[in-house]
Amino acid sequence: MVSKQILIVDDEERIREVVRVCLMKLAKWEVIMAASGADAIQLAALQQPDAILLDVSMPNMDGVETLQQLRNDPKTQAIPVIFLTAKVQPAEQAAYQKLGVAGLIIKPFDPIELSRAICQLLNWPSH
Amino acid sequence: MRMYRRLIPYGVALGTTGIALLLSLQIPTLNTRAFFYIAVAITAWQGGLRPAITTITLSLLAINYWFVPPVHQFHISRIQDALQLLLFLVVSLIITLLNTNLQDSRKKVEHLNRQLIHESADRLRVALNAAQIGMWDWSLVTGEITWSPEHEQLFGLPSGTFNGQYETFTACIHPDDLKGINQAITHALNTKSPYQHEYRVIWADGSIHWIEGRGQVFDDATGRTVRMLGTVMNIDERKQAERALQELNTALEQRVADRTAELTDLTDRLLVALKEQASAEAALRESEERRRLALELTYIGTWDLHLASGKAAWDDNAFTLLGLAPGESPASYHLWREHIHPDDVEWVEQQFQRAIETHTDYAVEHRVIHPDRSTHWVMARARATYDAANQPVRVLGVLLDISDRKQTEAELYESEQRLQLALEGSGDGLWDWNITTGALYLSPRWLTMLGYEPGEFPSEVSAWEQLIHPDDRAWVMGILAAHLRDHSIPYRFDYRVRTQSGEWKWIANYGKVTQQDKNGAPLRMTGTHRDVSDRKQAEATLAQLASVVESSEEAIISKTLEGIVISWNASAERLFGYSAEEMIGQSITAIIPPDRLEEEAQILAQLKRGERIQQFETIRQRKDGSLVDIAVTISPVKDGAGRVIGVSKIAHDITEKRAVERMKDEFISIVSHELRTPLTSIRGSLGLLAMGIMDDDPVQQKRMIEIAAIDTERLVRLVNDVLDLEKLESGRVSLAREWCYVADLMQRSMEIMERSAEESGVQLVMDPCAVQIWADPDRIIQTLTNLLSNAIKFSPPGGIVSLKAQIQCRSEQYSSEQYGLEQYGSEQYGSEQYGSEQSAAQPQHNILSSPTHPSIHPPYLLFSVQDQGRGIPADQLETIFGRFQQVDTSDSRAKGGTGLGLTICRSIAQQHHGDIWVESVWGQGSTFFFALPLTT
Repeated sequence: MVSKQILIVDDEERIREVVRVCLMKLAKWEVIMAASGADAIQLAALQQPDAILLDVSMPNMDGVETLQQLRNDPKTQAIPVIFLTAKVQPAEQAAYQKLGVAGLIIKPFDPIELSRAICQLLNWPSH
Repeated sequence: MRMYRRLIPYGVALGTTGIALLLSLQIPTLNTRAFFYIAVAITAWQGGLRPAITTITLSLLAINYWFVPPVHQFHISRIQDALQLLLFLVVSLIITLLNTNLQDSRKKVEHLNRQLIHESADRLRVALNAAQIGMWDWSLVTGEITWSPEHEQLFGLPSGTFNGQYETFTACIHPDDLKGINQAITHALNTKSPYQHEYRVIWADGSIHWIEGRGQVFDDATGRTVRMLGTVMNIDERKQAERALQELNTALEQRVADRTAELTDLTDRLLVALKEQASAEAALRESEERRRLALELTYIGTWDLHLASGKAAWDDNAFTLLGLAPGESPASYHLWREHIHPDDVEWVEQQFQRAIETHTDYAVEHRVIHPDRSTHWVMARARATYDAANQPVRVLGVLLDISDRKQTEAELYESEQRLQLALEGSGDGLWDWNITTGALYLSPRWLTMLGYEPGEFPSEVSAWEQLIHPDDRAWVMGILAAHLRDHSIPYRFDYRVRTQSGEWKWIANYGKVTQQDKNGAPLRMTGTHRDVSDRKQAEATLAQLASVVESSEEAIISKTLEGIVISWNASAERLFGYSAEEMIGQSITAIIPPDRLEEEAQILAQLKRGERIQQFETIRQRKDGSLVDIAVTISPVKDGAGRVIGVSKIAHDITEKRAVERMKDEFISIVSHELRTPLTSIRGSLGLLAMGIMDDDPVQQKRMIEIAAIDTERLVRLVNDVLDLEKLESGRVSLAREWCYVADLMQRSMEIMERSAEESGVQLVMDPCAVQIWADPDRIIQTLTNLLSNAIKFSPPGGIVSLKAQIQCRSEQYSSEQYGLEQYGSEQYGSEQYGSEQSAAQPQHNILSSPTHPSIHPPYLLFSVQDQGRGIPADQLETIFGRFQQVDTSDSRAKGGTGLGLTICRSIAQQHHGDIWVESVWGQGSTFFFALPLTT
C-alpha cells in the first residue's frame, strides 16, 4: 500500500494531535496539520495532500469557506475533502453534503475506525 | 190636369195614325200597312190597350178609304181586300197585346224593385241598430248633417234631437280629441281618402265613450266633393281591454323593477315573463294590423232567417265571416249551425230560441269554424219579427268578427295569470288598499306568512299598523305618509311584523300608489310582503362573521380563482402593509415574491380538486419590499352547487416562530459542538491508549493522558456552567444574601486570580470602596473573578488589569462617609493598590467619569474591570453576554472558557437587580461594568 498524505485542519490543538497520532499509528499515513483555514489553503497548495480532513467550526474562516477557496484554486480543487464536524442536525449535515465533500466524519469519532472510515469515503483500499 | 193626362194617349193615337196615313200616301212604294203597325205599337207602348184600339180602328178606316179599291170609299169589293184588312186587325191586336203585357211586366218589376229596396233598407237599419253602428251623411253643399237614430244614441242624444249642425257634433267631442278629429276630416277631404279616427265623446251625463268613426268622400260628376258618408261605432270595450292590458304591463314591469333589486331568482322568472309579454305585445301589434285590414275588407255580415221555411238570406259578408265564398252554398239555418264551434253550438241555439221566445234581442259571442278548420270568434246580434198573432215570422241579424278582441282578452288573462303565478312562485303576499273606502285586501299568502288563516285577520290598515314592531312603527308610518304625499318617494323597506304566535318576523314591504285621481291624490295602493327572516338571520350571521374576520389576529384574505382579491381584513393590512382599498380588486401577486409566483398555480390546482392546504409555510413580500415568513391555510370557496369559485386564505406571521426555531437550532448546534469537541479529544486519546499502540512510547502515552485530562476538566466546567446558568435562570436557587464589605469581596477576588495573572504576566490593580452591600458574596466574587479572568486572558503580557468600585449617584460620586463604615475607614483600604505598584501603571483612559446604563438608576455601587486587550467590536458589545457568544471561540477555549461565563455574570447581576455591560474601544481595551443597587 502506497502511503497517503493527509492534511488535518482543526483549530483545536488537542484534536489535531489525537487525529495525527491515530492516522500515523494505525494507517501509517503521513500527516500534516493546519490550525486555521488560511493555513490549510497554503499548505494544501504546497504539499498536495491526498486528502484533507477539515473541521467545519473554526473561527475567522470556517470549514465551508475554506472548502470554497480550495475548490477555487486549481492547485487544490481536485483534492478530496472530508468534513470533520460536531454538528449533528440533519439539516446541517444535508447542507454540508451538498457542498461536494467526499463525506462527513462526526465528532467524537472512534479512533480505531477513523482511518477505515476515510478509506471508505475516498474509495481507498482498506489496510 | 188628370183629365188632360188621361186624354194624351188618345191624342197620341190620333196623331200617330195621321202620320202613318201621310207617310203611306207619300211613300206608296212601301207596304202601306207598315206605318200603321208602327203607329199601333207606339200608341200601345205609350197609352195602353184602349188608345191602341183607337189607333187600330182609325187605321182600318184610313186603309179602307185611301188604299182599298175602290179608293175614297168605305166599300170593299174584293174578298182578298177584306182578308187583308182582317190580317191587319189581327196583327195590330197582337202588337197591342204584346206591348201592354210588356208594360205591365215592367211596372211589376218596378214595384218589386221598390219593395225590395224598402226591405233592404229595413234590414240594414236593423243590422246597424243591432251592431250599435250609427250612420251619418254630411252634405258639403248645404252643410247639413243627417244622423241615424243609432248615431244619436252613440253620442248620448235622444233620438231625433240632432239639429244637423257640425257645431253640435263637435260640441259632443272630448276637448282633447277635437283637434285630432278636425285634422282627420280635413285630411280625408283634401286627399279624398277614407276617413277613420278614434275619439272620445262626452255624453250629457258626463260619461266618456270611445267612438271609432269611418267615412268616405263622394264627388259629383265635375269632381267637386259634395258629401261625406260614414259610420260611427262604440269601441269602449276594446279600449278598456287595451287599457287594462297596458296597466297590467305597467304593473308587471313595475314589479319586475321592484324585485330586480331584491332577489335574482324572482327577477329571472319575471324577466322571462316580461320577455314573453314583449313577444305577446309584438304579436298583438301584428294582429292589430291584421284586424284593421280585415275591418277594411270585411264588414258586418247580415242575415235574414224565415222561421217557417228555414230558408235564409245572407249577404256576402255573412258568407265571408263563416269562411265561405258568397253564395257557395244556399244560405240556411243549418248551414249556419254547421259552422258554429261544436262546444258552443248547444248554448248558442238555446240563446237563439230564448231570444225569440222572450222577445228580446239575441246577442251572443261564440266561435265559428271555417272550412279550413281555423277557429274565429264572432259576435252575433239579432231581433225577431212577429205577426199579428204574436208568432215569430223571421229573424234579422248581423255577424261581426271579434277574434282580435278575444285574442286581446286572452292575452290579458294570460298576463294576469302570469303575474299571479310569478307572485305565487316568489312566495310573496299581496296587499291592495283602497284608500278611498279604506278596504284592504290581503292575499292568503300575506296572511299565512304571519300565521293567520284567511278571514282570521281584520282587513284594516289600523290592524296592520298594530302588528308593526314598536321600534319600527313610527318610521314605517312616516314612509307611508311620505309616499302618499309624494309618489316619487319609494315605499320599500324591511321591517319587523308580529306573527299570530307573537314572534317577530322580518318582512320586506314593497308598494306604491297604483291609482290616483286627476289631482294626483292617491286612490289605491298595492304592494307585496316578502318573508326575509332568513335573509336577516343570514345578514346578522354575516355581520358577526365579518366582525370576527375583521378583528382576527390572523390575516384573512379571499380572492377569485383568477387571483383577484375580494376581501382583506385589518390583520392583512398590518401583516402586508397594503390597505384593503389598495388590494381589493387587485391581483394577489402583489404580495408574492417573483421567485414564488409558480406556487400560486400549484395551490390553485390543488384547490380546484377541492383540497384544503393546511399551514403551508412560505414567504410573502410586504408593501415596503421586505419579506415575511407566513404560515397559511388555504381553503376553496364553493358556491351552492359545490363549484369552486374562489379561495380563502388565513395567514399569520411566523417570523418570530422562525427566529425562535433558528435560535433553538443554533443553540443545539453550539451546545452539541461545545460538548462534542472535548469528547472527541477524550475519546480519541483514551481509544489510542486502550489499543496499546503507544505502549512503547511513554511520552506519547503521557501526552494522551494529559489531553484526556484537560478536556475532561473542560467538559466538567462546561457542565457546571450549564447547570449553574440553568439554576440561576430558572430561579430555583435563591441568593444567599448578607451584608458584605465591598472591599473584602474585591480582595478575595483578587487573591483568586493572582496566580492566573502572574502566569499570564499581567498586573492586577485594585481601587476598592469602603461600603457594605446586601448581596450574595459568593456570586459577587464569581462575577468579579469571571470578569478578571477574561481581562487577564485577553491582556497582552505586561498588561494591567484594574478592578475598581465606586458609588454612583447622578453622575456624582458619593463620598464614602455617606455609606461609610468607620471600622473599615478609608485609611484601611484607602487608595491601597493591591499587590502592585502604584498609579504609573494605571490605565490612562478615564471612562469611569460618568458611566451610566439605562436599566439601573442611581445610587448604585459600580464595579469596573478594565483591561488593555484588543477590545471588542462595537457590534458584539451586547452579544457577548449571550450563550457561547465568544468574540473568538478558539481564544476562549484555548484559555479554558466555556462560552457561558458572561451569560452567568449577567444572570447574577440581574438576580441582584443590578446590571452588567461593557464599553470598549477596538484596539485599546475594554471596561466591564457591574452595577449593584445600594438598597438596605
